[in-house]
Amino acid sequence: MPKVKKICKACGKEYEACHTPNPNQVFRWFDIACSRECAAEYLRRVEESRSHKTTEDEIKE
Amino acid sequence: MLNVNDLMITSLETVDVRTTAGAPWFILDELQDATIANTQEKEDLTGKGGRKLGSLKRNKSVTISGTNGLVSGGLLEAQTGGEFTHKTSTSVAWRESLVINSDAATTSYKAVGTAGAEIEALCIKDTDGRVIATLEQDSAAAAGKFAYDPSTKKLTFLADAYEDGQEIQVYYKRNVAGDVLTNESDKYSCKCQAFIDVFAEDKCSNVYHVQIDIPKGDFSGDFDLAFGDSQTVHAFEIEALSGAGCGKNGYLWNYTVFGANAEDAA
Repeated sequence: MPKVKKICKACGKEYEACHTPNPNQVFRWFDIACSRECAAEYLRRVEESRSHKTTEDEIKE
Repeated sequence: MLNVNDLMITSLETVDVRTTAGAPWFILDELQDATIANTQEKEDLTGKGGRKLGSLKRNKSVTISGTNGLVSGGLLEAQTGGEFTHKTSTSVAWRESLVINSDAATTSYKAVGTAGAEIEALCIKDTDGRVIATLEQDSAAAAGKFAYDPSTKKLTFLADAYEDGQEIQVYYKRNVAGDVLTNESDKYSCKCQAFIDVFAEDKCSNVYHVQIDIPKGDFSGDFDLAFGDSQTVHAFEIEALSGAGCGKNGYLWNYTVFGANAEDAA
């Protein structure tokens, strides 16, 4: 059976991903990262990036 | 008994479908055609030299089929065994073409999904509309990567990586309110009660209402919805069943003729 490969958004490693659909949009760490730890790290970066942007946008306005 | 109920059917009006308990369910009122196909098996009983002495009749069967000019939500429920539910939020797949300006672009709607991976795919197109690169969503814009903030719907690209006016194609899911029917793999077409109403005229131009009452029917789950260069119609098939009224009734249908303006009877 063909395997779905993804690149971990935190560490950049290739990993075997589950490719079942997620219609209810439940958070699944394996959609973005190779491990729970990497997913947590990536989410931390996303939150940090988004909170910075929001602050900058507010300052600009 | 002399029967003078010879009628010209002048108009097919409706198929009124009710639940087996008699509750109104849906009405097909843009019918293009309807057919009541009646069959029975007959086996000849023969005697000397194969001469026919009689016949053994059995397996009476009635199938009602028709075509509605509109796609009917109720009919879809009956054919799939599902039920429409109104969802205040359900996700739909979306894609759109956007243009990069000042290293950024804005999606028309808020993309939803796993945080940090809301955009499912983003393609860079050349001037001929061909995809020349695919970018990945990340926490910050970098080479081959872009960032997205659902709160502002803003896509951010690496500074000066793309010229203003660069066309991109974005794929994502967004939430909408809508009515949803789910065709479950382990639910099947439903049983019903159906009334077919037609208008008719006799030779003297008296107008009659004819109602064909199918007390218990079983919808077929075989149906097609064909989309394309001609009208999409919704065909259906109901097999009449014996035993309506918890097994008390053995009839497959009643054909009732009454005056179009008939008064109430006692």
